[in-house]
Amino acid sequence: MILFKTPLVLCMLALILALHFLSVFMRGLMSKACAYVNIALHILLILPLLRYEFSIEEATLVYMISLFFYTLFAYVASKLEKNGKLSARDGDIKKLGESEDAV
Amino acid sequence: MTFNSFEFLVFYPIVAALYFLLPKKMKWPMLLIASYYFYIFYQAELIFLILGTTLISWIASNVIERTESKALRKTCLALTLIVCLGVLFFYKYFNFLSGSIASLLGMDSPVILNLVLPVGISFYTFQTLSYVIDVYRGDIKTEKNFFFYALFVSFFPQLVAGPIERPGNLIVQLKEANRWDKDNAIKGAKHMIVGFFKKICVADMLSIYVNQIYNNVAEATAIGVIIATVMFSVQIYCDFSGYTDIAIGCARIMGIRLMKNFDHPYLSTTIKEFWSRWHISLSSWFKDYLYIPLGGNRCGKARACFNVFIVFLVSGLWHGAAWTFVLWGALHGVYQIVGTLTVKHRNAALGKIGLTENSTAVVLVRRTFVFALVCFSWLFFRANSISDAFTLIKTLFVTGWDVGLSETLNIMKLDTVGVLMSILSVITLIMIDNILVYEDSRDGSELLVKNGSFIYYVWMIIFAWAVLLSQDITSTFIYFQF
Repeated sequence: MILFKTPLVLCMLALILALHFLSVFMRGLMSKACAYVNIALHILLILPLLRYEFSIEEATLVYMISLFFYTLFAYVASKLEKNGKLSARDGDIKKLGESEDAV
Repeated sequence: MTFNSFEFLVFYPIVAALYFLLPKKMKWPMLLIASYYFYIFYQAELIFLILGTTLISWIASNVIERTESKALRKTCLALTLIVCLGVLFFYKYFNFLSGSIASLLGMDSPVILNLVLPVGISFYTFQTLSYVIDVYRGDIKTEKNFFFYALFVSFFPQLVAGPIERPGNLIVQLKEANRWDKDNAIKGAKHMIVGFFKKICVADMLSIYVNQIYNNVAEATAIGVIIATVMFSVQIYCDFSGYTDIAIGCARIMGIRLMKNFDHPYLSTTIKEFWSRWHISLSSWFKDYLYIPLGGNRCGKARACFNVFIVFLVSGLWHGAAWTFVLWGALHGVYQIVGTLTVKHRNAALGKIGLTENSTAVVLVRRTFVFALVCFSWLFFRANSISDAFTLIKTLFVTGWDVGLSETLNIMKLDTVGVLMSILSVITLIMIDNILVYEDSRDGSELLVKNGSFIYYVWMIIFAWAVLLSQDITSTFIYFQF
């Protein structure tokens, strides 16, 4: 695989993955900025892929790795969000119970 | 026109835009014209079949509702069943039956007609039949406007491969003039993107390796059969549920909610559960219009088993006019009957070792076992002929174990890139399915499209498409042939 012999592509991929992480787990403007830079990086990545003559299959694999990690982070975020909402709801129910006891 | 064609990418945005721009009265006529255009674009020469089926079922249902005579009502229902099923039988099963009879009688040249299978015939026939039967039973009122009824039968997102909608769900929604809604648009677009991802990035990519084994059975090895069959189980799920996701997404953008057709089928712990999660619209159709009228489980155990077997046999035939599909259906019938008959003994055995059917280990083992059974049945479904299926089974259990993994991967043309691509795409798919279920269940959570991240999926789809084009692989949906 050419991927492991081309440090430039590996570095770009690492940067993409880091930006995926930040765009998923950060909030507000920072998250948006990371996401838009990342989209630009995805397009820019074509240049080294062409320069180092990646086959179409291997180029697709590079993007698949990126997509896999984005989905993984989104999956983890959805689980955290779900647990957070559940525990918040449990907290509300508990508070409601306590206030009813006080009455 | 198929969903994964360039024409559809032009067609759909125009239809959706017109739907929101046109005044209330013009919305459904536009959808009807668009639906017929969608069908004509694919198969213009057989448009008279869907028109004829629609007209006959509409006239029959109106007569059934208006007349007091029981005999006339029965005659109308019988006539509709005979005509609709007759057309289906002629186009789909005539050559199969003729060939089978000829080979049974040892004839050299069976009568084979040059017939083209009408796209989606099994789906729209079942949809019209459910309508007429519901009217006959008095469950629904007939639709007085023929053209509106024609839209119910031909609504383009679900016309050629389902979900097989019930009149009670779809007709009411088609009558509503929905306005643009951002939430519907986001949820619909998300379903469409996920559908395209499943179809192009997973199903079509895996088909490259599956075909190496199933189209060259003489070269197959035991490990190859196992890998290819497991891959096919993922391929067919992504192919069909991908189509359904695109259909659901198309309709959702316009504010119309189609029924769910898949619900994590490979997590089932019994075959019965598998069929309540796989192709839900067809399973429930067979339950309501075949299994229960046959007597269901009301006439004793033996009769219930017989009914189950008949339903699965018909389900197999519905999928295709070939003995491989009949065997596939029969196998599922046997699975379900054995499962039902042994459930008490299995639970008693678990109790003896201190486990219940809900214990984690038991659930895990049962899921694996059910997945293995389903995979084995897919072998018949995918095989090009009965003899191919038995050659593959012989390879799997007897002759194919003398070839190692690396040689098998060579035969399948599975290199490191292919292996990594397959593994990553399947894991990604599992996570996407989970996120989609979570996001559909609550408002405001849009991780799959957050900050324009849908672009990553679109980007991936374009590259996968390029791979398929570079290998000259024409991609059609498997369920189109049914």
